[in-house]
Amino acid sequence: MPEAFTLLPDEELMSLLQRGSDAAFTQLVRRYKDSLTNFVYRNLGELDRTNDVVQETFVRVYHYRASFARGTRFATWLYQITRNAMRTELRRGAWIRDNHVRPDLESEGELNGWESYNSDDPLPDDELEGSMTYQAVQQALLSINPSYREVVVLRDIQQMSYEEIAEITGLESGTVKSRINRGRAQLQKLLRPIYYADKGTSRS
Amino acid sequence: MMRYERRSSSRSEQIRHALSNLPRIPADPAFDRDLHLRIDNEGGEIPHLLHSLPSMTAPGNFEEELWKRIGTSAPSHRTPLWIGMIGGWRTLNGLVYLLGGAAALIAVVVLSSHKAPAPQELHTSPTAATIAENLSTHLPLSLQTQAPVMQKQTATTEPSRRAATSALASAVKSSQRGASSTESLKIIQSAPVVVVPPATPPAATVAPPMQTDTAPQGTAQSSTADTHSTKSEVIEEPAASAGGPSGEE
Repeated sequence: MPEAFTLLPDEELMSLLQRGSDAAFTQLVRRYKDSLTNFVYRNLGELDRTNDVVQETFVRVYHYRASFARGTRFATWLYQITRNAMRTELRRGAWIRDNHVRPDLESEGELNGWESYNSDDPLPDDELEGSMTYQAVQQALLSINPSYREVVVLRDIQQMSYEEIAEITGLESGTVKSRINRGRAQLQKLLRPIYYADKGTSRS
Repeated sequence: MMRYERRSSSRSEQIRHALSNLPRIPADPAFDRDLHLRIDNEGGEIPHLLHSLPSMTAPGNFEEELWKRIGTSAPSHRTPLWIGMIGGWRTLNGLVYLLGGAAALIAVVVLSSHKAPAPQELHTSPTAATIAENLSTHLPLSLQTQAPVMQKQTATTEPSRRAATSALASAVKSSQRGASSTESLKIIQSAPVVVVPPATPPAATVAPPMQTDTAPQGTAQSSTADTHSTKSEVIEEPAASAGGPSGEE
């Protein structure tokens, strides 16, 4: 792969890919595979499925590269594809569990057509998490309303701006902010014991 | 005025007294804790906690698996997608044209093999020739001599039909006048022969090519032919029967 590719912006690489450069595609994959894996894993909670979704995302990027329009931000386009692939995976239903949202949280927000998982089920990748706190945070993430979880992950884990999130999700910026706040509030309630334990230890 | 002021002051006193005596409602025990959480959230405690989560990374063989999934083993050796698409499209089109051409060819061959024989083929077919030969060899001589007559009959037209009718009529008249049967027969024989188109298969209507020029001679022979052999054969040909051996009787 040419070294110059590492310096090119995403959109330029996409342009090269549209002209048949596989090296440009490889460069884009290397740039985004980890961040996409992180995003999908925090939403799905299973590494195998996460890997599958991220691969499917890049396959779609490759096959539909001609549909990438000039002037579009590549990251936004990529996350939109990822989001769709994630939804498709969720709707496939083989591994989706029922009762995904806790009853006390269910009334606080709409489900927006998303499915999620039972937070009581143990995560298969426990060893990947460094501590009990991380496991608890991951489980709490999987327990909140999926429409909130998505924007919270994009904002607090992927460090995206409200405008970027609005562009990816197709929501108004105000709706994005409100969902992020509601998601955080749900996480606070779920993480209260851990939160106070940490607070207690840090204060003492 | 003074009375009004005194009354209002007493009322406000009463209200103040009532308010001060309202039962006290204690604050929610969780109020302080929730307030604390709320302040922490606004200050970014939850975002900080989420951001501190360990980053997940793609597996080491991610790219290899991806290229396999896309459909090729190594990106550098792959044909560009658009070439593959065009090639695939052309291959598909070519296949469609090939199948269509083959089907058309088969259809032409099948149709031509089942085509009905042309009229001229009937004349030259061995069946017709065989029939003619059999007729010439096996039929009695009297019928063979009639064959040219039959061939001539096919060319009979409306005027000859009228002439035959008038000849018959004159023969009937002459017989009514008392003429001999031989005389009437001569009148009939001199008339042209009219034949009703036969309902027999086409092969039967084909006349053998021989003896075409011997018609007068044949007619003369027919008068001396055997009557028994011709009776059954001449039924379909009224004119022939009229001019046949039966007339000699």
